Amino acid sequence: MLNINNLHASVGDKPIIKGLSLDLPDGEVHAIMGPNGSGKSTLSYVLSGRDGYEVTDGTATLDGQDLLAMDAHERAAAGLFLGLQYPVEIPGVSNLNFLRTALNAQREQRGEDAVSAADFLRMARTESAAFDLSMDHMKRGVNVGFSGGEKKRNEMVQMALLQPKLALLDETDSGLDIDALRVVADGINRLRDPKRSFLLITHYQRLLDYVKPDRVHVLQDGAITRSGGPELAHELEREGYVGIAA
Amino acid sequence: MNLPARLDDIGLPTRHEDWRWSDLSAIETALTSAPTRPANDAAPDLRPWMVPEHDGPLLIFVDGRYVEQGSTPGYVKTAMAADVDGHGLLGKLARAHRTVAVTAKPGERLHIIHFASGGQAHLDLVYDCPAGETMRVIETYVGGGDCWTNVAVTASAGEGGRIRRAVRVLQDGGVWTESVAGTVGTAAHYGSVSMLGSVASARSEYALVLGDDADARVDGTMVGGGRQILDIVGRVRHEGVGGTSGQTWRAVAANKAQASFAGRIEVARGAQRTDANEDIKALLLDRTATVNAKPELEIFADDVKCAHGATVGELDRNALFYLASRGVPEDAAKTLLTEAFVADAFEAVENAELRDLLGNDARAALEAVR
Repeated sequence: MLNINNLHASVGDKPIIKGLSLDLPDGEVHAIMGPNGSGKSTLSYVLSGRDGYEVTDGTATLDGQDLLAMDAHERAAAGLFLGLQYPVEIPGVSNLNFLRTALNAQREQRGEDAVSAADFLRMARTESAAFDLSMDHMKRGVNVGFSGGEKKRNEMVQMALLQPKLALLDETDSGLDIDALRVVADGINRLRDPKRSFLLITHYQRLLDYVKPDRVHVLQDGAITRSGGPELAHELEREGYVGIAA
Repeated sequence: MNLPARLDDIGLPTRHEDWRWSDLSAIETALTSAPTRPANDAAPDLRPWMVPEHDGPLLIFVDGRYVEQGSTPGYVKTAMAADVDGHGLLGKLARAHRTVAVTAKPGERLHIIHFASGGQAHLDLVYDCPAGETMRVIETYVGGGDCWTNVAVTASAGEGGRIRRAVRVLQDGGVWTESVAGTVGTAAHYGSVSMLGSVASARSEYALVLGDDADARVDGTMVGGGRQILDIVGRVRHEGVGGTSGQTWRAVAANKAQASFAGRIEVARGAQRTDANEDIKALLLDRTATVNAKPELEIFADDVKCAHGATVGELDRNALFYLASRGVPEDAAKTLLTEAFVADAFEAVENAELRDLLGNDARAALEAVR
């Protein structure tokens, strides 16, 4: 699904990602854990094509397609979803309008028919209910007046509606109370599919108690320093990143 | 007062601070030009600008003349009205040179549509809302060419009365000016929302005086491209206690357009518990465009809440990336965000159809300047 090979990326003149390689097969859930400043968010922005993040070397492909050659919106249409750490508020654009525009923009790029308003509303109702977000939230401006937890659940509603091949979830667990964490984890588990992969970027192993990863990678100073099974997350929790690095 | 033949005849105080950003030189062109439509013609096809499912009175004007054919005046009187003070020079001019004065009384929603084909046209609109009544009116200005449409609006709302006014300036080129003098009585309300689009040069000046517990809203959107010059000069004066007012303006300027807002809030001595607010936001689509914002407060009472905020900026990069990360191409994302930006100014419009109508006008204007 996702192949990253010797990726180097800079923000301005500062190298942040320094030779990162990662292989994420179809249907698997991998977690990337790392301390502050290790390059976790930079990795998610580089993969999703945000301006200001410059790839200086290496490759990244999604299902064999060169991700780095595409614009951000083309990567989304190719099946990449980024769940943001800090979802943006967009006053004046309703959540429903935002999502329908996004869904149909992706479908258009893939040469598929647009989803009708009625069908879309039905889908939106189902998914917002699944993530415990009211229809009132769906009608409001995108993330406007949402609590931290509601913003994260809104990211999950979007993921569920857009049905990506690869979901890159950047600290989706931060700012969630235990109930919301369960709702989000249940949602991820429900969307697990042999054709869909997840890359969970997280600080803590808390989310990994509910979403069991196939592999855990430790990101330190822009490169993966260790990989292992789910038990590595527990080891990290016990010994900290410093202990692991030693 | 003769009809002006040259700009100097009007004697506009262009050196005055209130006229700092106005450029009405296009008026000169209009003064030396004449309507291109014959005076005895029927009204042109106005269907594109009609208000859907409008069932109230409809008044059609062409080049300042009232056109009976197609108009359904109903309760509206098209007689001369008595002079009312409070207008600036443009307002006085319009009042002196009106061809027809409209005196509206409450009832169903009134739609006034003015078509300009060239030359100068002066309209005198009087909205007289008795105590406890509600009056709703939509004004639509269309046409274009070397024209100058000059409107005087004299509004007065009696105790508990409500005036709701929507102004659509969709004239394709030419100059459009208005002078609004409003008196908002005890516990009365005056609310106006404007959409200033494709006109080459526009100037809206308003002066509202509020009594005890009165409420006023003056909101609007300016969308300018090319070398358009759009100018708002507002004054809201609180004379009674417990009055509230809000002015929300959004401006989008592209190319070499200039959009300006100078808004003054005055709180008279003794006008305690006034709550007044001014909210100006502008979006520059090109670095060559200009936006001026000048909020002013003059307060002579101590127990008041007055707030003003003005920002000029570009589209939010974070929001653009958020949309891109969901699959929306950059152009479509910019369109969506720009439309959302201007829609803020229509938030206070209670009628959903009217809000949509103004939204569509704004969308068309935005498409034209991009």
